[in-house]
Amino acid sequence: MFDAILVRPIINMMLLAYKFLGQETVVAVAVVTLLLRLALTPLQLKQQQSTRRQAEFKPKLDELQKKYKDDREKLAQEQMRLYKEAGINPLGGCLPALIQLPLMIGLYQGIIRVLAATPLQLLALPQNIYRWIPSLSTLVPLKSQFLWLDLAIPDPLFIMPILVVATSWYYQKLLTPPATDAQAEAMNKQMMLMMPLMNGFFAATFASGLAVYFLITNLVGILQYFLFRRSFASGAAAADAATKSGATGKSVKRATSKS
Amino acid sequence: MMGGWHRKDHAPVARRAGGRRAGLWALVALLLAGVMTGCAGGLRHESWPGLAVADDTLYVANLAQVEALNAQTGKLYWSFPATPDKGVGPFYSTPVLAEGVGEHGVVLVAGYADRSVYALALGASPAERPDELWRFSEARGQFVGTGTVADGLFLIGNGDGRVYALRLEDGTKVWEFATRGRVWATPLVVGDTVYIASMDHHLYAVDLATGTEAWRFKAEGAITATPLMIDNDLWFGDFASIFYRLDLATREASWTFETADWVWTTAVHDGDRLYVADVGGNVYALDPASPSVTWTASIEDVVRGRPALSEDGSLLFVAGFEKGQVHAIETSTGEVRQSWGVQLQNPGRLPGDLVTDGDQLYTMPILVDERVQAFSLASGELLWTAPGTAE
Repeated sequence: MFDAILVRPIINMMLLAYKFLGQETVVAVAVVTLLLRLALTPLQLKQQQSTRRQAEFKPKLDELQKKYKDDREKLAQEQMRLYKEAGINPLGGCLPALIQLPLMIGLYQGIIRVLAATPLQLLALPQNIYRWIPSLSTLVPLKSQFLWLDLAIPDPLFIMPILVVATSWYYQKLLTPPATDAQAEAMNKQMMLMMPLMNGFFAATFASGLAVYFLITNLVGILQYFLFRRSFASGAAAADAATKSGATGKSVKRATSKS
Repeated sequence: MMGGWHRKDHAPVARRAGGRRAGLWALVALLLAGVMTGCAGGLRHESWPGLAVADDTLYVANLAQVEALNAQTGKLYWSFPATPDKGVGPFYSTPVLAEGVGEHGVVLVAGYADRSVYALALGASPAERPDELWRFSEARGQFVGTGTVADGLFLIGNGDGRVYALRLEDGTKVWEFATRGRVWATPLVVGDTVYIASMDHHLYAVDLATGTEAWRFKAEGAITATPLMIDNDLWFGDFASIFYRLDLATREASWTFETADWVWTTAVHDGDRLYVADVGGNVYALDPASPSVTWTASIEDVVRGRPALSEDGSLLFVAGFEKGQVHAIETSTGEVRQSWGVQLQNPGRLPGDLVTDGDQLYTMPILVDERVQAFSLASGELLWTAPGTAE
């Protein structure tokens, strides 16, 4: 079901992009990643805005927790009232993420399957190619050479893993909402260290086609951020206006400075 | 002072937060690893193991080891390397036996990730552990295809698009021939010409002595099937779902047949008819003389491995990859026999070629512990497995 709805269309989109854009695998991966990320942009913006607004709302929530620490029912009521007044949906950050997640997994799986780094993966590919689109099968296997890379094997020069770590770190930095307390800041720091390192480890261990995917995803994400940063910041500004107080000066400054 | 006080004051909170963070990270790492390995084929690299049989001995390229087994019992004679070595294999390439090298011949096999060809000098008895005679590690890509022996050379294609001609005695490279795609098909040697099928859509005719190109034929799709020579024609299929008869006199396709799916594997010839299977599980019997299609059958499973014929040619055995079952097809009618073969509880998957020695049919399933299974050709009864029932 997941394959039929998501993975197969992505695989065939990739083959079409490969066919009509110079038969370059990296170009096909980049174009399909870009298209899907752009399609997901409204959801991502909504999620980012919601995350930032909630982050800036945290001091108020902390105050409520302190005030009603012995009365959970009252605490819940007050929290809901606060959310309502500010026009924030407490699940607003989760829902877009839940919708995006299967799409991103579908994109990832589509890329991995179409790259068919191992012979067994190539064997699974014909079942995923639409026969009603003429001559897609003749494109397989996709060209695996790109610059110094053989997309089917790990990068022997470790250039791709390094690029993946660097872009992952920067992308993470852009997306991380300003911390409102020491614990959140520590968490942010850890995320900014661990996520890039983990991506780098996968990029170094698996076929370099995967590293290309990570790199393109990060670059598209960074590009997206700068294209839509006004929207990212406006969410924070709206939150600030709604709460009128509570948000730290540091976080407001950071959120608005990017607009 | 302030810093010290600050750290001390928050230490229990930080520890709790650290514990929660560690748990969160473990969860994220597990999820990511699950997604990654689910798509990348698992942490253990599975391959399609290959098997060659000679003098009642099976030579098996199994994951990261080459093994010699007693063909009657499945008893293990030796493994190379003696214990699995991360630097060796895994193997897709089937072992090839070459006589006239060393005292008792050599077995040649090529690894996938290690990109190396190994020549193992056999001992006087099958049970004697072989010595590594030479190793060739100059290829830049992975070895998937099986090699062939001709005129004192070992010829094998590589994922770097090249075919390497290595001197059997010492592994010295005599020549290499470059194509623009991976070479997974076994080079076919006829006289002084090597026919090389490449995934760049071409079939090349190359001089055996020098490795220089004589001519090339362009197919519609990638070619992984080794061509089959009948009279003066080469027969092979490609990923564009076309099966060709290539006339060597004109160097053009004199007949083509459209299959329902990719043709990955080499056809089988019984001296009269030609049998070819596509990856969609369709099996075709062709009359090469007319040429025409005699019958078609379907095993309703993915087919990657080369089918095998029974001793008398009355049955064609075809391995279904996903369901892990061997199907017996009547060669006279194309009828798929329902009763042949035991139904294993966990059959695994069958990507490899089927091999027979006249009495037994050998399969090499993956994703199961019993990596080699021997069946009676007559009844389909399971005779032994290795490891498992073998003593």
